[in-house]
Amino acid sequence: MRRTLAIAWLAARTAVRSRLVIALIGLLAVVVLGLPAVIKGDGTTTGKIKITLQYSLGFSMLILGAATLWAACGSISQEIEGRQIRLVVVKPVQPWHVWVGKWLGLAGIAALLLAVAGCAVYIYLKWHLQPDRTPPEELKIIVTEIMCARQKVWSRSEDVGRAAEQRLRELLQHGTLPQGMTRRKALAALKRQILTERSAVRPGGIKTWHFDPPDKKWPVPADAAGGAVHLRARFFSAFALEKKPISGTWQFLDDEGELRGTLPMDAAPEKLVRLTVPGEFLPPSGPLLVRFVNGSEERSATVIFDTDDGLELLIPAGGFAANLARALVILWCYLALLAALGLTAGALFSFPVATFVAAALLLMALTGNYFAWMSTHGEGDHHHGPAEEPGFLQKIGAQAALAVSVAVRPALAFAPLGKLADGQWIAWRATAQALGILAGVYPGMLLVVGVLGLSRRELAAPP
Amino acid sequence: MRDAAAIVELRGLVKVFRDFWRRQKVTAVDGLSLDIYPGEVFGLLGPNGSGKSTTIKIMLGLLHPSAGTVRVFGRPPQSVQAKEKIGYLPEESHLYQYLTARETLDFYGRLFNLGARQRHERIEQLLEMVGLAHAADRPVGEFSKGMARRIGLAQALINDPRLIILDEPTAGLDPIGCRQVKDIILQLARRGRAVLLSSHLLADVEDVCQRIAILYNGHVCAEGRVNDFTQSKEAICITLPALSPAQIEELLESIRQKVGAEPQVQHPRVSLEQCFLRVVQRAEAAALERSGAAAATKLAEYLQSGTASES
Repeated sequence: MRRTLAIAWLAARTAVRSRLVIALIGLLAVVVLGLPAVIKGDGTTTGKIKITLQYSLGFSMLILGAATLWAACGSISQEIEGRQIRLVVVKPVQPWHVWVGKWLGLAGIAALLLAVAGCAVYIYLKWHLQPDRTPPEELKIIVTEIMCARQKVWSRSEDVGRAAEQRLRELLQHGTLPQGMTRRKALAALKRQILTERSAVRPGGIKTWHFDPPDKKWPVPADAAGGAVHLRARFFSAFALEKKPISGTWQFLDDEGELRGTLPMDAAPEKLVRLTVPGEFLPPSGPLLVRFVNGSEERSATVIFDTDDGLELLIPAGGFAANLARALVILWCYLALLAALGLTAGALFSFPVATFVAAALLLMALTGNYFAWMSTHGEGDHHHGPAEEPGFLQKIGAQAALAVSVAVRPALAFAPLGKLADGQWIAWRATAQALGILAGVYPGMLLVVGVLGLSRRELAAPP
Repeated sequence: MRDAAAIVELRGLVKVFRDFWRRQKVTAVDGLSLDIYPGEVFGLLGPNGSGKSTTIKIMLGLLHPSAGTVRVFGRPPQSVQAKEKIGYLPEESHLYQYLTARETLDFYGRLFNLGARQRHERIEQLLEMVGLAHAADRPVGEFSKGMARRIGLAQALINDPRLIILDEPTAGLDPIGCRQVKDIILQLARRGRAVLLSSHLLADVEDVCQRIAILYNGHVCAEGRVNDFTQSKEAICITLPALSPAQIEELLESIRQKVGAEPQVQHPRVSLEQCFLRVVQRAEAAALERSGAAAATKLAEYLQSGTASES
C-alpha cells in the first residue's frame, strides 16, 4: 500500500507542480462565476439558477474531464519518454502499483477540483437566493422546484399486450398487415397505438393512474411539510390549433376506491402543470389512484396525455446540499473513469498516440448508440419503396456499433446534472451504482489491459 | 569470494532490437555469459555500442532478452524479491525535477516499503555521505550534473542493496566526487556488497574493479582479474627513498653484475588526481565556502553493516 500511495502522492504532486491545478482552478472560477453572468436565460431567477446548476457544473465537468484525460495520457507515457519511470520500475514495484498509484493521484486531484467547483456553485446559489436579491414568490418556486430533492414516482405501466395481440390477430384475419412488417414490429406499433388511444380523455371522460409508494409507504404529511408533494402533468389538446384552456378535476383515491381529496385544474395545454398535493391526500400505505375527470364540452376539449412522461408524482426525499454532494460523487466517477482510460492508453502508446486513441475511444463510446441506431434504422424514410438489404460490411459495422453501444450503456445511464437542476432526488443507490460501475468495474477492466501492456512493454527500448 | 553462489548469472544472453515491422535492426548482445559474486567489484568495459548498457537493462528487467537466461539472486529480474536487493544508478539521473533532494530520497524509500523513521534516518545519512546535506531542500531540477549524480547515487543506496549497478557513476563529477564515489564503491565491496560498474574511464575501473569483462559487438572478448590484465610479468619495479648520484651508480653497477641487464632509473610520479586532491584539501582546511556539493565524510552508518574485509 505504501508503494501505491507513494506513486499516488507523486502523481498528485506532478499535477500541482506543473501548475495544471492552478490553471484549472482559474478556469473553474471563470466558468462558475462568469457563466451565469454571461448567459441570459429566460430572464427569471429560476432560469438563472437552473443555468448555474446545469451549465456551470456541466462546463466545469467538460474542463475537468479534458484535463483529467490529458494528464492521465501523459502520466505514464511521458515518464517513459522522459525515462523517469526506469528508476521506479527497477524498485520493488509491480506494474499495477504504477497504474493504481497514478490513478489514485489523478482521481484525488480531480475530486479536489470538482469539490472546489461544487462548493463555489453552492455558495453562489446561497448568496443569490438571499431575500433581498430574489423576489419572495420566485424564491418559493426555486426552493420547492429546484433547491430540493424530490423522488419521481411513475405510474404503473399499462399492460396492453393482450389487446395488441387481439388487434394483430384481427389484422392478419383481414389481411391488412402492411407488407414486409414482422410480427415483432407490428406488435410494438400496435402497443404504442393502443397506449396513445388510451391516453386520450374526451370531455366528461375519466382516466386513472396507479402509483405504488416508494419504499412501501407514502411520506406522512409531517414529512411532506419540508417540501410538498407535487403532481406534474403534461398534456395536449386534441385540437392542436385551438389553445382552449382545459378544465377538469384531479381526484386522489386509496386502493379501495375511497376518495381522499380533489384538486381543480384550469390550465393551458402543452405546458407543464404543477399541482401541490396536500399530505392528507396520500394513503398511509398501498397504491394511490390518481384520476383525471375532464370537464364538460363547453369548458374543455379532448385531452391527450404524453404516453412517456404524461403524469408523475414528486415526493420530498431529502435536502439539496446532500443531493448536490451525490451529483458531485457521480460526476467524480466519470472523471475517475476518464483517468483510467488515459492511463491505459498511456501505458500502451506514446503520449500523442495515447491522447488520440483515448479521445477516439471516448467519441466512439458517446456516439455508439447513435451509430447503432443509424445502422439498424437508416436515415430518412422508405416511403418510395422497400428498404435495401444491408451489405456485409454494413452488417459488420452495425454489429460493431451495437457491441460498443451495449458495452458503454451502463456507463451512460447516470445523468446527475439534469436531475439536480430539476430538483430530482439522486438516489443513494444510483450513487453507489455509479461508484461500482464507473469507478470500479470499468477502471478494473482498463487496469487489466494497462497492466498487461506495461508488463509487456520494454521501458528502456530505443525510440 | 567464489565460495558464495553468484548473485548475477547470465547465460547465452541475446538481445535483438527489431523495428515496427519486426524486422531485425541490430543485435546488441550476442551470446553473453557472465557471473558476479558477492563482495566483488565487477567492471563492464567496452566501446560505445558494445552492449554494456543493454546488458545492464536486461539485468534490471527494463528490456526483455531475445534468448538466454538471466537470474539475479536466483530469480528473474522482474521479480520483486530480486529488485528489493538491487540499487541502480543509470547513466543519466532521470529524476523528478520538481522534487527536492530529500523528497526524492523519501519517494524512492517508500517504494522499498521503508518505515518513516528508517527513511528519515537513511535520508539524513545519505545526504551527508554524498555531500548534499546543505542542498537537501532544493529541487533537483536546479542541481548541477555532478550534484544530480550524487543524489542519483544516494537513491541507489537507500535500500542498503546487496547488488549495486552503477552505469558511468563518475560522469559529470569533479575529481573529489570521483574519488569519493570510488571510495564508497570500495567500502561497499569490503562489506560484502557486489558492485557492477560500467564505465568508459579505464582509470576508474582500474582503481576499483577486481574483475572485468571487455565487451565488443555484444560479445565478451576478454574476462578476468584486473591484475592479470595490467601486471607485467617481464619486469619488476623497486621503489627506494631518494639517493645521491653516487649511491645510485653503485646500486646500478651491482644490479648490472648480478642480472646482466641494463636497469632503468625513474623518479616516481604523483598522479594529477592526487595533486588536485591535495590542493583542494588544503583549501577546505582554510574553510573556504563552497556553493556546490560539500566533501563527503564517510560511508552512511546503515551501509556499514556486514563484515569488513581487506580488499
